[in-house]
Amino acid sequence: MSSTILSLKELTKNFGGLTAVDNVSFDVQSGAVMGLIGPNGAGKTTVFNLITGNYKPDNGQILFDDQEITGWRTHKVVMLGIARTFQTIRLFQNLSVLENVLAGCHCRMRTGAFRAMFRTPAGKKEEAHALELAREQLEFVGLREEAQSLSKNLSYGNQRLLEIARALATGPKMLVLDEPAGGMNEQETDALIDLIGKMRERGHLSYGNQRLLEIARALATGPKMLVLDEPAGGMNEQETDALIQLIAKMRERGLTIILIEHDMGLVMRACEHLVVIEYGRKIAEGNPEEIKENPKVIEAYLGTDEEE
Amino acid sequence: MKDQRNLIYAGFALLLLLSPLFLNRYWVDVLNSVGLYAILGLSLNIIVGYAGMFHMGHAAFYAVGAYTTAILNTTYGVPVLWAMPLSGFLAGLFALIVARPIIHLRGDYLLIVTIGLVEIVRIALINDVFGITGGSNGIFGIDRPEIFGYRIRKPAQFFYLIWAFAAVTVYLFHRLENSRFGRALTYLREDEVAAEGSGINTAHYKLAAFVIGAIWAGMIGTVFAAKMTIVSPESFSFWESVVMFMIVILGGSGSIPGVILGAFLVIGLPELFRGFANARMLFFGAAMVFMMIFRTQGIIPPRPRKYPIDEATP
Repeated sequence: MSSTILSLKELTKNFGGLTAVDNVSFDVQSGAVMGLIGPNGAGKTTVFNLITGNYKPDNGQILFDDQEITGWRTHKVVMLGIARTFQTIRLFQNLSVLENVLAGCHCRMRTGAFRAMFRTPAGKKEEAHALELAREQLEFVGLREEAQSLSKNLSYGNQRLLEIARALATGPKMLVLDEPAGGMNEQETDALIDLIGKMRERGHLSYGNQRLLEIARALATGPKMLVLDEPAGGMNEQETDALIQLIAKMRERGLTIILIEHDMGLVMRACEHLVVIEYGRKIAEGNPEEIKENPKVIEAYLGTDEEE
Repeated sequence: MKDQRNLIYAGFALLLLLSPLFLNRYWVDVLNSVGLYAILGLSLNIIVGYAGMFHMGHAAFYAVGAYTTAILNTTYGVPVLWAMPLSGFLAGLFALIVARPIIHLRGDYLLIVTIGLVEIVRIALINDVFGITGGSNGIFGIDRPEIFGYRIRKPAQFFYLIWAFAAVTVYLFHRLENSRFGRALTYLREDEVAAEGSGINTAHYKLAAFVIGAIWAGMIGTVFAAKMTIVSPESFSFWESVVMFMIVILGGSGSIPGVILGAFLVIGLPELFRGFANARMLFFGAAMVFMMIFRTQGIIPPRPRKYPIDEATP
């Protein structure tokens, strides 16, 4: 068996009176693809935010590569080798696709203000290297052609529609299937699905491409482990297939991947190990087959009478 | 399009370079003020334009620089231009100390605190802190600067000193803008959480932006002290900070040519409209309101950065 790369030990996080993550422990094997699933509001994203340092846990430990990273600031965690994508897309909307990826290169570079002002040879060399690295990442996810376009109108490429693109590009932020039905009534959910459909019909604002860009940015940090938060959220079938392939490819590169996903098709196909949480507590762990059969998981997803 | 723009900038620079030959003393002096404010605007632009932090207390750093020079020169007899590095350093140090605790504030909250900052500095100067600032009279009798034994006295001489400084500033800041450092500030402005999540130490860069901006403001404070031969607290009022802020926002936040144009408009135009006396401020206010409605990004917004990646595969 391969070694453990990430280890969560009795992790707890409270928000006021609410215990979002309650005594969760699990290990992630190096080179594995692990899925973190659970019903809405179960605390999946909170677990991610704890791992990446966006939140500080109230209790428990996080060990990465045998190093305790509990409570580290995010940029240090990233430097150590954990990259993430966000549940809601958080691209630098007004910057080019390439610049978005260069943001990821940042923590592997050293040029400061002084070197920049006097453009030293070392700085120039590093800059060229970063560009090359960014280009590689874009090629890897298949966005090489889009390098110079603004990320907000990715796949649009048409400046006349820039106004529309901007409106749409701000729309998807809210539309991400964060907690798809969480707090929504049926009507609202229908409207949501409609809206996503409409965006696709316009055809060119490919939401999936924005997702891929986020992954490219994360890859540019040279991570040992990748944390994906609902990477397939809002993607169509084709795009999801491409994503599954990409995950497999990334794995071949020796990356460890953790992902949160509601798309069970993707989870079952892409992951070999699953952790299920509900109400902040881990309720099951195992391979996809075991999870599918697990009565607790079925109950958590389908609910019982007294719960609803 | 791009080349055309550069041509315009070059023509403008040439015109500016020759302007002392055909302008009278008064207008050269106006251009000197424009130059000072252009550099101040450029230094504030690092904080407001690139990093997107609303900082309306830049006059505080300017004051630290100007007073450092004034004190060094009048009390210790240090030649004015020799005081420049220390003025910049002290302004930077001051920024480091005062910005550290407020750096995590966002938007309008930061704005309010920085307004407080500039007021504290002004009032401290009036109250003659440490007995070295000369109270509300300020410090006078500052020497004229000397370069290689050549004493700078006339407006036309100051013109070349100031605009040479401006040229160096533009050159260095342009490079800064198109570097890892400049990009980090842009990411910070665009989305702080995403920037931190991409491995950028946001707190560090916010502080660095403040310090670099302050160093420059401190150095230009030296030139100001030398030009006026007197520094007094009223030169560093809240209104001065507002003017600098206005220059950046009006001209084009984050854009070097924009900020320079902003300096010309905000400092130069009122001189042009002197005949209208008080009505010029009315005109000016109306122009600002108009801008904020119809062109929020400023007159010359920043151009996207270009990378050689395109040329490899067209």
